[in-house]
Amino acid sequence: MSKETYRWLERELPSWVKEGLVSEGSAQALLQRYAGEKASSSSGTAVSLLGFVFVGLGIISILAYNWDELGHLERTLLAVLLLAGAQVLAFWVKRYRASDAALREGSGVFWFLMTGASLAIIGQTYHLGGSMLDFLSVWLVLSLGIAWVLPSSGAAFFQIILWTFVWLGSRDEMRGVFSSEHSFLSPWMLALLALSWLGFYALRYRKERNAHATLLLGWALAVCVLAVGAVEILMATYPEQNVRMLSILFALFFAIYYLTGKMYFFWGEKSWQRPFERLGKLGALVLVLAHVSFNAGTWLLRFDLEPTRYNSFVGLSLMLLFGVLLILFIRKEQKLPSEMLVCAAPIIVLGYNLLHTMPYSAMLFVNASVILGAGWMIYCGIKEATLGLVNQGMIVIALVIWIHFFNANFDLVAKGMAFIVTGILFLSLNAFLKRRFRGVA
Amino acid sequence: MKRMQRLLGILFGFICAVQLGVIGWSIWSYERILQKGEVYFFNVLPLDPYDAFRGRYVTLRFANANKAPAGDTTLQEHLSKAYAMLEHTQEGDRIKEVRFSRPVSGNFLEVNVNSTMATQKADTANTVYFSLPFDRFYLREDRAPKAERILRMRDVNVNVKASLRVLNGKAVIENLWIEGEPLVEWMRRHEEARSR
Repeated sequence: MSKETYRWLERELPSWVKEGLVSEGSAQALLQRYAGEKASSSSGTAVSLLGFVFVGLGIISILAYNWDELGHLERTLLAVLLLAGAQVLAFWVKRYRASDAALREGSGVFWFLMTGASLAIIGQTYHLGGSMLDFLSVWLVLSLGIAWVLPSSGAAFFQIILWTFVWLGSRDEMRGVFSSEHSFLSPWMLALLALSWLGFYALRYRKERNAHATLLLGWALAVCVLAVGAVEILMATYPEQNVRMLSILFALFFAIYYLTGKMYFFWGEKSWQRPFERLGKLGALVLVLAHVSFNAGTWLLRFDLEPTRYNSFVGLSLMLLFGVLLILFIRKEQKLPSEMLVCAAPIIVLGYNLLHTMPYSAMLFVNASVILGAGWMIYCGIKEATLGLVNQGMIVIALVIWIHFFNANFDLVAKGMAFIVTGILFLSLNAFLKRRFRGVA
Repeated sequence: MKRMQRLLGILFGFICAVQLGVIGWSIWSYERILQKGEVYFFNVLPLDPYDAFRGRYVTLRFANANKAPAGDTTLQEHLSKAYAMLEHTQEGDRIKEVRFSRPVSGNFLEVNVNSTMATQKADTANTVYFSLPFDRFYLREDRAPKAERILRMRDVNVNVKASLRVLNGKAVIENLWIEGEPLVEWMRRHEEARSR
């Protein structure tokens, strides 16, 4: 429960008691029930976090200038003092200000950043070799327990980001992007290190699910799992340049993301509190829309769909997971979900690929599916009086029309007219529905 | 609850000690190499890239330090580390040979083995291709690009050397030298001369 909702409940309960809706005891029990769940002050924590992040990054940046006026003694002293200073600050906060979440989070992030700054000074002072990945790996290992001992979700947030960089950089196929060398941490060691922040996240989720700091970790988790998953799928299809298999695997991956976000990984009802659902939905819609154009079809269907042992294994595992989640989701909802288009993205992409010998049928199938899915969204939106859902469906239909319009060789005036007509349609339909929904309410 | 707090307190102390220990040990070991290590000079070609955390540096390409004859009769192709034996000669300092077992005496340097090539002739040694474990010389942000620009100018035909301090298989780059003068000093002089 958010802090605002808790305050509202606190204000309302006395009148409910007066009206005899609830007893005095029940009112107290209700307040106690939600007292542990109310989110802590977000603005104080956010400002503190940002403040410490800026100071920390500023220090790293100033040191990266590499002051040659400073000798070895001054530099090494600086390295030790920065780290020890951050440790002392963290200790002081833990000992005397443990209840101040903003300070605790901030000092954790500062400690994390100063560990990196200290390592950077040593690196530049002694002209140490090794790749950026080596540097990040040492930083990752040395800052491992910071999140736990304070505890600080901010430090865990940076740990997750850092871990993701090291993991992606350690992948053989990504070496050209990040560095030319391997990290000294093996994939098994990295997987073990991931247990540290996963454990921390699980603890936070159990203790303070609705706290903003936990939501911040949720976003880090969603983005990093997305990055790792996307790279793994790319790796599974890259050697054969199997673009069609790539699109099938991505469709499954995004749909799984959406379904898990819808059922398990969410921190409230607002869109920014549902990172997995939002990222999954965005990915699935973009992917499906990428298939509707005739140009994309002629390009994509040129490739052969040649499953290898590895990408078939990945595909079947994802398909199995998707099937289980879809059944669970439909059983939970007890009806066809309004965002059926997102859930059905893998089936649409798979069907499109199965029809590859008949390119026009394939494109007709995908276009019809998208229009039907978007139409279903609009229908559900009107039925549930949810303007957001109606708009979503309309945007998808408009995008399909625009994609075809841009594919056709019309001049700029015609394209401009299409934009204006769509815009006017949107505005008038919105105004009409708003009035209608207000009438229903 | 109290026990958990105590445990977290111990963990806190342990993390602080490990972090400071790693930093302190690094400083001590590198300072020791700089003070007690033997000096070797190698010709280098500097390039200027950027590291977001450690700042600007010049990448050093060490001349004649990427292959050497194998000191052992049999090549250990599965090993990624080997030991380059260093020696001072009339022509300059050089890597005499590369061994796969750690030498008990002499000045040597731990190197990363890239590949090996067995010879067909009985009287010729096998060849080991390797890279040195260091390739960076950090400079002040504004100096690194200038250094690279000056060193790459065609009209300045200068010999650039890196001095390494080597001790017990480990080495630290001590300085970059241009015609017997430290790089920073040489740059300062060069810039003054150009501005005049």
